[in-house]
Amino acid sequence: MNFGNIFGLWALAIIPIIIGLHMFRRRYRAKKINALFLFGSDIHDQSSGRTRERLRMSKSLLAEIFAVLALTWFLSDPFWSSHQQAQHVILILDTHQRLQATDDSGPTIEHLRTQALALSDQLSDHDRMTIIASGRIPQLLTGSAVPVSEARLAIERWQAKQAYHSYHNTWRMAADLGKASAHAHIVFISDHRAQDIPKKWQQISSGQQLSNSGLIDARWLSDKRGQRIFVRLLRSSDTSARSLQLFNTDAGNTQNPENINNTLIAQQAIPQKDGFHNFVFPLPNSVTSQRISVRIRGTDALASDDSSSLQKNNPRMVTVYVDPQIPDADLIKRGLESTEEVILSDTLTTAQLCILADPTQHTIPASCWQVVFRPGTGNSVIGPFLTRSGHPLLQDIDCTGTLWSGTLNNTNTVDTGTTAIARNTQQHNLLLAGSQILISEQKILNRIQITMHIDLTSSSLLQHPAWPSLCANLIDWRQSFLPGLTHRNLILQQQNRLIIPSNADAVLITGPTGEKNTYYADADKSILIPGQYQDGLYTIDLQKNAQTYSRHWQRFEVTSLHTQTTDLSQCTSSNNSSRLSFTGPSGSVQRIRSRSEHMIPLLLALAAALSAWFLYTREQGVHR
Amino acid sequence: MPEWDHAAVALAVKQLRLVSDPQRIRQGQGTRIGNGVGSSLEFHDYRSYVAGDDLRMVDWGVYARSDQLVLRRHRQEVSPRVEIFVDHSLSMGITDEKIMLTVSTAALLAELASVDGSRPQIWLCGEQARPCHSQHWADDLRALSCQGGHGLLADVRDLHPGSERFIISDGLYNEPAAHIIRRLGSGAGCISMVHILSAEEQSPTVSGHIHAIDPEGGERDLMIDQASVDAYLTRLHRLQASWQSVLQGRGAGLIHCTVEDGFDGMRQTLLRSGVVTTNTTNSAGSAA
Repeated sequence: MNFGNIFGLWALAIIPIIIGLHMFRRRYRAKKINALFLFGSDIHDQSSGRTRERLRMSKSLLAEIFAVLALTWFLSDPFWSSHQQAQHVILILDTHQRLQATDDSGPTIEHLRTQALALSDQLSDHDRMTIIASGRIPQLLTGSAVPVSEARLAIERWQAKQAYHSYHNTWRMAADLGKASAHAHIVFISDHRAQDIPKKWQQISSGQQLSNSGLIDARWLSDKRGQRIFVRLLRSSDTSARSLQLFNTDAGNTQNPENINNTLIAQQAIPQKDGFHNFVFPLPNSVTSQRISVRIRGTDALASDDSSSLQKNNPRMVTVYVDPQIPDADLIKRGLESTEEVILSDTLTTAQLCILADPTQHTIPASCWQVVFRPGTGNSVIGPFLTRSGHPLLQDIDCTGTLWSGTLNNTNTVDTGTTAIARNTQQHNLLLAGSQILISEQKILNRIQITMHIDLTSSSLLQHPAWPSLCANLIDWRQSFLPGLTHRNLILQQQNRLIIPSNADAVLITGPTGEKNTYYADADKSILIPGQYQDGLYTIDLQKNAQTYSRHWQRFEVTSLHTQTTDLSQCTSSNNSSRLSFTGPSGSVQRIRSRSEHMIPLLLALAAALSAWFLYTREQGVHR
Repeated sequence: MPEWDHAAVALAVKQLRLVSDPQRIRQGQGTRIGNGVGSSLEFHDYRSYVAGDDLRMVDWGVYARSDQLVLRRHRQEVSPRVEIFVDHSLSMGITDEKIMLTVSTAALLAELASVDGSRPQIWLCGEQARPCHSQHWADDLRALSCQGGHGLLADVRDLHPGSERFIISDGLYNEPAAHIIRRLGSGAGCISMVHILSAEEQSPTVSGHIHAIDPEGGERDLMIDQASVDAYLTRLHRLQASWQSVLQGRGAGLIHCTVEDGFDGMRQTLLRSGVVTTNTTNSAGSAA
């Protein structure tokens, strides 16, 4: 025999106490006396102390012992086996958004929910179920091997709101859970018939092949040619006359829907043939909206893929100062100007990136990065060179054929040309040619110094095609450390990175349903915003010491666009739930203490305790 | 219910007679002629004159004829009803002897009343009060069992006004005696109480620790020592005094009987109390 709580056996220690009380219970010879009232109420037993007497098996003693035994049973929960034999069915519920597709008979998910509930009706009360919701990160809607009644509640709560995801993580979880109890039945419920499902598993696919048109991609592009909205949509078996519309849905600084300005900006008819269709909408300069919605006009089976919103990508501009003392400063500027997010500044005070020959001659702002051209005395070399793998400055840089003079000999010494080397600096060599250092990086407090060991007058770097790429990488790298969002338009469950200003320590993000979450920055003011599960507009407020001081500082949009969401032609219907059977050998599932196993001993203990009290008072002769 | 000693009762009935209420005798009340000597106009018998007799009762005619002084006696006028309240609550049945003496006393009084020409009515007061059958009261007494705790507190109705009433009980009630007598004695010619107690009830013995059980309800652990006995006796005497005071002047008062004295002791007690007297009818009849 096993015990759910072995410490419950300590309750048996009450029995000797009860026996002791009864042995020392005061008992006298009974005698009939008329008119007890003549003895008065002040005449009572004055004897002190009690003596041990023979134990009498009175009814109250038996009732009390029985109550203790019942209480011990309740507390210790004895059982023979930690496992029970029961049918265990693991249900995998598809949560793709396309299950919201609706026709005259209702949404697909409701058909599937009905079938899932009917499947649970085939099981008896002592059988168990596990409900798993599919997703990029699959979710257990119930615990493992719960009673059928609890599983039914989970099926009722099943929703289809996920973006496109693969089933493999979900199936792996189901397989692991199935191994825990032998002979578990695994059933996958979806609107698609999965081809690579494990053989022993069963499927219920009750999809609806409906005609549908839906957005699968939308982007807001802005470059030197202007702003454009790119839209890609898919029509599947939908030949109705429909059009694509752009609306200005900028709500200003609030999320109040009443303030949304739904102004039609552009409209275009969608070709009435199946397949992918691309659209490009140039935005006139008069359109200053920060948020634009794309909508497919008309109704179809799935409404959630007919509209999407885009936030304008306001690029984070990098202000750059180029020291005129540098040789070929103009060439350097030209290379920088090829990158759109650059603002060339004549002063150092507002610069976020400065390109200098001698830093000691300038007062550099605390947060300003430096690129220092400091020729060394090393040998001249010709590319390609050895680059530090994965560094953002050197991504996709090909220096083949570059003549590089003024390298630095790698003697493991710090260049003594600089003064006041800070204690917390870290120097890394980024570009090497043998033992010659071409580019090195130093982190000084919160800023970075790139040292270009190059003599520009005798090198061909500035004329080489690698130079604009190097400038673009440099700007991109610097941009990634400026306050702001990495992405303003995301898909569901896509992570995002945010840099906050130095005077903030946290952000408050408000979702489209009003849900608020606070995220705290790490030491370099960086916040990794986790993937969101609800599409819509999200706003970011800056916080310092838990106080919001800048509302709606940034915004980003989350959409759920994907080809797999829109295309309902792959839905299949093989309603085979009636053929599913769960007979056969039962699996071993972990024992759950049933409600009756809880209540019966407890009720017995209470009843016995009440009886014992009643019998004791009768034995003691309490005058009523 | 053990059978009472019929022979003893019958013998006592022959030897005793019920003494009528003296007040009614003096006032000449009564609607029936009793067997005793009274003041009615009906001739009863002659008796020789003894010094001190009332000279008005001397039959001068007999003296003229015979030179013998004799007294002319007349028959008495008596009340027609005797009502007897028999307490058969649980306290009366604490011992068989106690209930048997109670029933014997009731039977004696009822027989004496019948012989006297009165019509006895026995009320059985247990859980509730009910009258016995006027002709078959003996059967009811024979079938009597102790029950209930109400006893004399039970509601009694339709009592005969002017009747002579006897209460046979141990009187151990927590209720004031005045309340009981007010109900039972209302409209009575006279009322008396035969107070039957056992020796243990009259004077408890020191028993030490006991678990006392009152047959009429209640249990308690008690220490019966001399102090508690003294306290008991004080309260008992106070109770008996209350009975005595409320019965004062309404009859024979409180008549104490001890169970252990038996039927003979009870008979002697009744004689001493004046409720009954020895029956001299047969012996005096030869003088005429």
